Amino acid sequence: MTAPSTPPPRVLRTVRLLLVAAGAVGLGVGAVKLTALHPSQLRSLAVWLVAGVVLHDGVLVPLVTVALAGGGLVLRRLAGPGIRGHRWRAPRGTGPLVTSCLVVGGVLTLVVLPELHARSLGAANPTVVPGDYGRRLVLTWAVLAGVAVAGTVALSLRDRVRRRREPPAAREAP
Amino acid sequence: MRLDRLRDTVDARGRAASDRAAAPLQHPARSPRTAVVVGRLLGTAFVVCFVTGLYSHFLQDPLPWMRFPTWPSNLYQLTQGIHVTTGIASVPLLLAKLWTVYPRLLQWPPVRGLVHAVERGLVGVLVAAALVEVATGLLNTYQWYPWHFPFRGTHYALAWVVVGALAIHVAAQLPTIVRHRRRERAVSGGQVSAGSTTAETTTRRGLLVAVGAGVAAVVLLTAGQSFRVLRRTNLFAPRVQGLGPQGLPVNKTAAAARVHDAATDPAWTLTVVHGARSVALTRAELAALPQTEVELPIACVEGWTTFARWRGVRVADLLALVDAPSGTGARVTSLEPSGPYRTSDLEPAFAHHPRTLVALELGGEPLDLDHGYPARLIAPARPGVLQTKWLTRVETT
Repeated sequence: MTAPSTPPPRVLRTVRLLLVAAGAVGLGVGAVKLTALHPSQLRSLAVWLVAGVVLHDGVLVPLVTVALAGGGLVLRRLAGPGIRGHRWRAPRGTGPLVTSCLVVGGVLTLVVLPELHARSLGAANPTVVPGDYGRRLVLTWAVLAGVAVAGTVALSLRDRVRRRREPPAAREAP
Repeated sequence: MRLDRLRDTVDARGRAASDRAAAPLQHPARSPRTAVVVGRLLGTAFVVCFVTGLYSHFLQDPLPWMRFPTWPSNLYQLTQGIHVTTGIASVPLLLAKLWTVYPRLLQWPPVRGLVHAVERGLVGVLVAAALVEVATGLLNTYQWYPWHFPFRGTHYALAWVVVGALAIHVAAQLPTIVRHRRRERAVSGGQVSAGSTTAETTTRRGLLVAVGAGVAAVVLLTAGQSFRVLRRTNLFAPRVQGLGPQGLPVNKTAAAARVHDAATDPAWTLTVVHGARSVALTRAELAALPQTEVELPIACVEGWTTFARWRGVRVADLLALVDAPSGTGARVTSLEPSGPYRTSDLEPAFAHHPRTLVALELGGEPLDLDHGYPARLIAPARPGVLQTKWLTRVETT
């Protein structure tokens, strides 16, 4: 199969030049607007910009990487040597299911933790951040865990039904 | 000679270190195709935020030649609701995009030449600015400001920086984007195309499903602050529709605005001025004029909206009292002693609009003090900050 056809090089070059020009204008406008800030304000912004990248690249992604690797290790252990001889192989589809639950929980936690902190600082009036977000977040994690477990069980059953229907020769697959 | 050897050693060591560091970061879902797919979604979200953000900015700081639509009355609810909801949806999209391209942080050599250095520098700017823009936008909705820069001005400036750096980034990556813009299928006859292996495709789909679930969850559980249809699933937004005195949330209280004494003064009057002509009306006199009832939303710049029923005197009628012609605009002034929103301007289309009122009542009762008693401005298609509370003066411009 051929790769999807690419536009002619001249079109590509024109588009790239236009984008660079537009980008330069955007950056210029942004820089000009930033000059309206006082030096102390710019310093505070610089701290935030650097801290954002450091916290994300240096803390968040490594944490996620370790979690992913850890999860993989646990699954391989369960499928291989097992725990006290009990082996269990995760059914197909477990990966996306559990990843989805973790991503949903993780994103909601990231979004709600600052809200919890803002609430603890005391809101300007009772109509700002009025809810019991901490309890709701815990409940959400519980629901996600339930969905992950129930979903895995359902996928497991579906796998078992499928395997029973297959002719014996096909069941030999690892 | 020695310098050449030194350079080769550094190069080899650097390459080895980079490969070692990158090994645990290898993941079948990390591929150029994933970066393009997630990048497209994130880029779209940022463009939507930028356009809706510009509209909000210019509504508050119009250039002299700008004119804005007065219809639909909930136009600002739509644009700002979309702005904040899309910004919240950007959180999982931005994190997914950054996760996908993370190994490129450790590429060797770090700088291949001047153009490459500039490109990498701008990517750094894009990442930093995007993270801060989304974070400050989110914290603003919680009214938490743990920084020393002015939110509005900085959020606006960074928006331009993000969009500019994004355009240049797309330009730099355009060949890759074009190459991976469509899913490639395996060849018939057993050859798998050079694009994606089956393992890559399966886990890419897994990643996209997970990111989609994250976006759906965060939107469903917060967009109810802006859009009535989702109000029942609003678990995590900082505002709740209809929660507040007279069924309407409050942003600035009378205490915070320091207007308590002036607003509760029984001798309060509303002064209407056109050139040399001026009229001062007490609240009773305002209530005696022909009243109009409208249903209009308070749509806040922070993204939340609630509809309410207002009753009061048309601004057009007040301007007619001082013989102001129909083509004039108006400026309203608040009792607030200071602050950027103590006055707001109405262009002629808004000033003479039949649904623009000096409101005296909310939901059938006199205005609550926190909602602008004795009188506030209410007009269609305007942000909440421009619906000035605790009015004292209306003059033509």
